Amino acid sequence: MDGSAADDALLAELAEVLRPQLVPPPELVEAAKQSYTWRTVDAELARLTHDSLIDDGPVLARSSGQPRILTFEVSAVVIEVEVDTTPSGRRLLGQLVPAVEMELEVHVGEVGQDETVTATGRSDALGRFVLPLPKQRGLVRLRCTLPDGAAVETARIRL
Amino acid sequence: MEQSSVADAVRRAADGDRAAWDALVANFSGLVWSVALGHRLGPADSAEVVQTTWLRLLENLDRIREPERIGGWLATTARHESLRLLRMRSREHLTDDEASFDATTTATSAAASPEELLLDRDRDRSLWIAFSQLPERCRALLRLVIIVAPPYTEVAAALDMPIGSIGPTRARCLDRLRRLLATAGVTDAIGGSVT
Repeated sequence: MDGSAADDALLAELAEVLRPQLVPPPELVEAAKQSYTWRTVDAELARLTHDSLIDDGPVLARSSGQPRILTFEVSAVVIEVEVDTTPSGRRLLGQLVPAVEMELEVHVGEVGQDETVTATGRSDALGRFVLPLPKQRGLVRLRCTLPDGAAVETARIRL
Repeated sequence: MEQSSVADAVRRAADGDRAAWDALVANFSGLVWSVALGHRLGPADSAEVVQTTWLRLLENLDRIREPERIGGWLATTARHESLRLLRMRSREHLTDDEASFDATTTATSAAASPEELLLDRDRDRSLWIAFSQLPERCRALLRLVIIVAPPYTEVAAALDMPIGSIGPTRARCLDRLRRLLATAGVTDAIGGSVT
């Protein structure tokens, strides 16, 4: 048996042993299927284009003093938020570019459950906003209603 | 799933076909799960990586440029989400460099123990123990090459390695496994020579 055939045989044997572990938990697969109901159909999606946690390199990301900054982008607007943790709770400090006044909602939920609006607010004339975040981590998205009535939603992110 | 039917499923899911989405999830969940397992995340964090990876696909369904290569896209996304979580979780032991193939590590992960797996043959137990003594990156690579068929584009995406180095690294990791088995006094019943 040459080296490559021996490798294939050993790998096949290993596959037998590991197979049960490599099967994802069924409830996870089911949840992934369920998440399809979360397709955004009535709003434009602002995709996550920057997360200081991974995009600023390991050194900056690892220094715990740095706040986490996330950027979501869509054609009409850029939404930048900082996750601010204070003794009284967590909040999102945000900036809209271009600066625009609009209605904002924080939606929090888990796959397979109804989402709840945990906070609402409005950006000021300079495009700034502050929104409280729940104490518990959860899948969070922002829903924004532009002055012309069009809706924009950010990608969901666990905060 | 053939490449052409994968591409077709991506397009149909983007058009609102739920059955096509379910088929994609069924086909690629093993790959996504294996990528998460390869990052030394605990069970809850591995589950979170899987969940977030599928949400990212959902959000990007209508803008996937090469739908026939969705496996590679999912593997890359799962790697990114694993890194995001690792950095969030107090950020030690990042595993992005080649050198970590040679570092032996012990860490808790979502991987099961031999007892949990109810391995009843001695040979299976020995193989499991030898495998668990491999460096983390070797384990990650071997899990992936079990799940994914050659030419291993998804494996390269999952590990952020050039595709050309997957084959040689696979050989190197299997050789280490063989040596560990030999050290444990297990005869290599399938004939691979230990030098």
